[in-house]
Amino acid sequence: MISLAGRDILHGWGKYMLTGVGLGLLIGVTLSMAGVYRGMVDDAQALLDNSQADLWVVQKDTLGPYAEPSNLAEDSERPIQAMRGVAQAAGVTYLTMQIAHGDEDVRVMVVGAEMGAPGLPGQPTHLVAGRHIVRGHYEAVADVKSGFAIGDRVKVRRNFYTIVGLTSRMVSSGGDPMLFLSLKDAQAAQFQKDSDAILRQRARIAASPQLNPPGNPAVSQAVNAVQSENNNVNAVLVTLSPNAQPDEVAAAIRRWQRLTVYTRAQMEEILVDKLIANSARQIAMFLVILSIVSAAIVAFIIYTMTIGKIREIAVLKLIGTRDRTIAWMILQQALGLGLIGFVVGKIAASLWAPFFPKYVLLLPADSIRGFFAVMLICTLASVLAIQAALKVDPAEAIGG
Amino acid sequence: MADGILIENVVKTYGSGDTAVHALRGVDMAVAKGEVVGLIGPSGSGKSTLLKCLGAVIEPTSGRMTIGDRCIYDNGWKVRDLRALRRDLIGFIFQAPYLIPFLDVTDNVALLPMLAGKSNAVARKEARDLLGALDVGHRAAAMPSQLSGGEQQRVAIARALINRPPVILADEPTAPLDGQRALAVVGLLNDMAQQFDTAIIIVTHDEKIIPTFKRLYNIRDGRTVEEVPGASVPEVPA
Amino acid sequence: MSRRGWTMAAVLVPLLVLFAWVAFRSGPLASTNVTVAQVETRRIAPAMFGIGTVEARYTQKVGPTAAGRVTMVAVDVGDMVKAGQLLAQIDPIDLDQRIDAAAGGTARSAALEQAAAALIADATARVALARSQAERTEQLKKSGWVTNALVDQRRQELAAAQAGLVAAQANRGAAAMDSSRLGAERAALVEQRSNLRLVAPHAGLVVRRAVEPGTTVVAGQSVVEIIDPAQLWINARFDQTQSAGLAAGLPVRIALRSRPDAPISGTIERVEPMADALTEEVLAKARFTVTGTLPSIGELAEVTVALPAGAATLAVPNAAVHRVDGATGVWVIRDGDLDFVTVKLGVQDLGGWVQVLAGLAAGDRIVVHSAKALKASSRFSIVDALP
Repeated sequence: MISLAGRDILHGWGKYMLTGVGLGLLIGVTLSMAGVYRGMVDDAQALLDNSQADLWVVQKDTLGPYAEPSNLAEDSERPIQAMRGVAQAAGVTYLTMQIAHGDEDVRVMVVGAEMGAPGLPGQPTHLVAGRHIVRGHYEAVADVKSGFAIGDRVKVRRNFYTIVGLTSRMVSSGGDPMLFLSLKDAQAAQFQKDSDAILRQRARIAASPQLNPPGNPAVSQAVNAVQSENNNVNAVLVTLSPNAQPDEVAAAIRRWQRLTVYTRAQMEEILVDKLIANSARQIAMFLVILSIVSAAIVAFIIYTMTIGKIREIAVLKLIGTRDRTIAWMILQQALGLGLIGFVVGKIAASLWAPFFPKYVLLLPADSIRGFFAVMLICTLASVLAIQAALKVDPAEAIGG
Repeated sequence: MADGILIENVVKTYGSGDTAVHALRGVDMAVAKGEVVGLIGPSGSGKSTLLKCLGAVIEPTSGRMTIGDRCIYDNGWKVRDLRALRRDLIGFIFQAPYLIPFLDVTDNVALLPMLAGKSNAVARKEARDLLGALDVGHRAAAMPSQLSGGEQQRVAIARALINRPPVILADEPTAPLDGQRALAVVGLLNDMAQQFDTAIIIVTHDEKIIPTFKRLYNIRDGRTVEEVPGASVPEVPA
Repeated sequence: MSRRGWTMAAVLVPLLVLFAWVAFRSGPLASTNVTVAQVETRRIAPAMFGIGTVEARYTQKVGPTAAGRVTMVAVDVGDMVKAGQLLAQIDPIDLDQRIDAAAGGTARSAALEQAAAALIADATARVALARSQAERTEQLKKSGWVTNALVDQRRQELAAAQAGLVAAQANRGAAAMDSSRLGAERAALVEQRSNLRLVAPHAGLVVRRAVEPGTTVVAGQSVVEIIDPAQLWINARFDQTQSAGLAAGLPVRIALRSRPDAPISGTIERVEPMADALTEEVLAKARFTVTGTLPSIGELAEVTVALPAGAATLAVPNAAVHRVDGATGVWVIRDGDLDFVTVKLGVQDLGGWVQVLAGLAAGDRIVVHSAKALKASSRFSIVDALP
């Protein structure tokens, strides 16, 4: 038995392929939406993975440092370092800001990490070019997404920093590229005020009789020094010794240091469930709508293709073709369209994914799921056409 | 003896009660193997309805139909698979060739034996042989759209004949043709009927070919009347 | 194959090839690009980098030791002064009057002293008279001419006169001490008076003129600050983790914030024994000689200390160093597989080269840059450069 579907497709293969390509672009959009969602979750996980931390210690009763602002004194890392099970504890600061680059502004997350020893939590995990920060000040490592190159001088607040290394996939949960500075430089950037504000502050202190008693100029100097001190960090990142249990160490820190501590699982929950939950729901709704639209379009295409063959179907039925042979022909055509659409869609999604402003992650598992979804949608969409074909009266082939 | 197809008192009524339409009020027909008969009548006389009953496309209300020695209808279908019935026992020739446009000529004809279960190679060989017999063998690999009207008609005839059905129903096969060609087609059908031992019923109102029939059935108001036209079978032009 | 067949193949084959390429080369299934280098032997010249501010080594804050009102300030910021030069004058307010009062007191006590001396003479005369009377009476007693009562009376008169003499002598002592006390007080006030003339203790540069004439100042408040411009140093701060080997005498290169392209050379004068515990920094003073215009006090400067290069050892770029599961090491390519080898690291230089003291051999191929974080099971392909 020859394949009626195959012959029909072969007869008008150009139109068939073009239809498949059109459908494929729609499927590509759907796959890209799924990729956008995966990319958002991956951004959040990359953020957590790249910090190389097992525990996050933040200001008490905050959801920081990513979901809420959190400030700690830098020396709170010392008692944490001394606790059992803690291998390393390092303060870290995060500040999202705009930096001028050529003619435009780049939005980056300035990360201050301790650069004293290799592998301290908060440092970039791998470099794609250059080297790690060596000098204690005025050097920076940037993510390639920022567009900076090695040797560029970028201005952060008052100082210029030379880019000495580049990383990739070091992004904030919002997809902004990271700029790594030494902790002291980042503290200056975050907590230091601009010159005008400092002058006004000094004037206020000089005018206050309590803070500037006459005949004792040392008092106002001391007060000025305290006001411009910047020894805060946003969080302390902790790595654990090999046999330590994260929950136990976290509980100990909570109890004895009276700070809020999150394990990796809890941070992931905060980021994924709270920070990106709304966007995830948005995308899920969009995916559903796209799937429905795709199904409708496939249904329409197959129906139109079938209606165009009504006379032939009547003749086939009359000369003795079984109903199920005709139904199978229509179904095969629908599935073939879906197959072409999927291939084109996967290619299109992979080719245009790097051009999206945020990370798009196309997982193989998602592609496989997408394939089965496309096949299912095509099958369901062909039901309408099959119904129409089965209703055709063979008597129509015989004239009135 | 009617060993081709025999129809006894077939009645077909559409609807019921006051709006009932009595399309056929008791039709009797008998066609022998190898015989070609005409079926004529004005429009609205039930011609199409009779053809559809003969073709096992619609179900009569009552009556008896027999093809060969097999009773296919006796106040109810006696066969379960009408499609197989049509495929194996009845050949159809339509007003227009109605070839499947996406199958080539050979496959158009070979489709029926394939549906009957023969292998592709065997079916295609049979088809090519038959096309050769009908003088369109040289067009076996072409697509239907590339054939002339007459060639398409021959392919349609081949398709009707390929399964050697005992009955062939032809619905106005000469309608689009002029005098010469019409007679040629009728002559061809006569030859085929002889060659393949098939009973052929030709539904027509073409004045040009009516005189060629040895026997006619005239259907009026749902009843058939057997007639014999005056003229004899003309010479088939070469 | 028919023409239609060729056309179809021309469309389908590239499509399928593209599909296969996309499935295996992009997305998570793709292999990670890495760059490699060989472990080489280098001499690492460790260097330390710190920032600091320009400070004057000696600052003198000149001011009065007693309250007063400034009448005149003779110098302004930027003036060079010599030792002993008058800087400012404080109005003594009541000091002169107090000196006069003290002088008056001194004169008065001198007069009292004189009076006491006169009283002594008087008492001496009385004693002499009483004695002679007492002796005469004794003699008359012997001849029986006077009574015992008279003798007693004359003896008592003598005793009284002697007591009176002692009293007068004591008076005179007191008056003398009073006089000297008042004299010392006056001298003190005079001394203070001379301190109201503020002079430069050493030659130097005036950097601050803290008060203007007319301002009332209290004891200890500085009026003028002077520094020694030839002795400027950088108060530099080095991160504690990177300050091993910092010692006095090391040469340094100083880049002032106002002249970053014209570095100045200097030396570490001393490393402060007290480090800053809160900022975790070691403090040091780097002395330098300045040519041309003086840098401003308080200007920021970057200080780079270059230690001499040690012996040649194995070295790797610091981009190759990673920390996996708590251990520090590098990824080595052995037999086409990735191995994480733990290493012991030494010092680092400012170019990012780190000494490897143990764990690697010369010629080992190590991963320097990678497009993604590596695991032991990662598929990788070697490229010349990323990204």
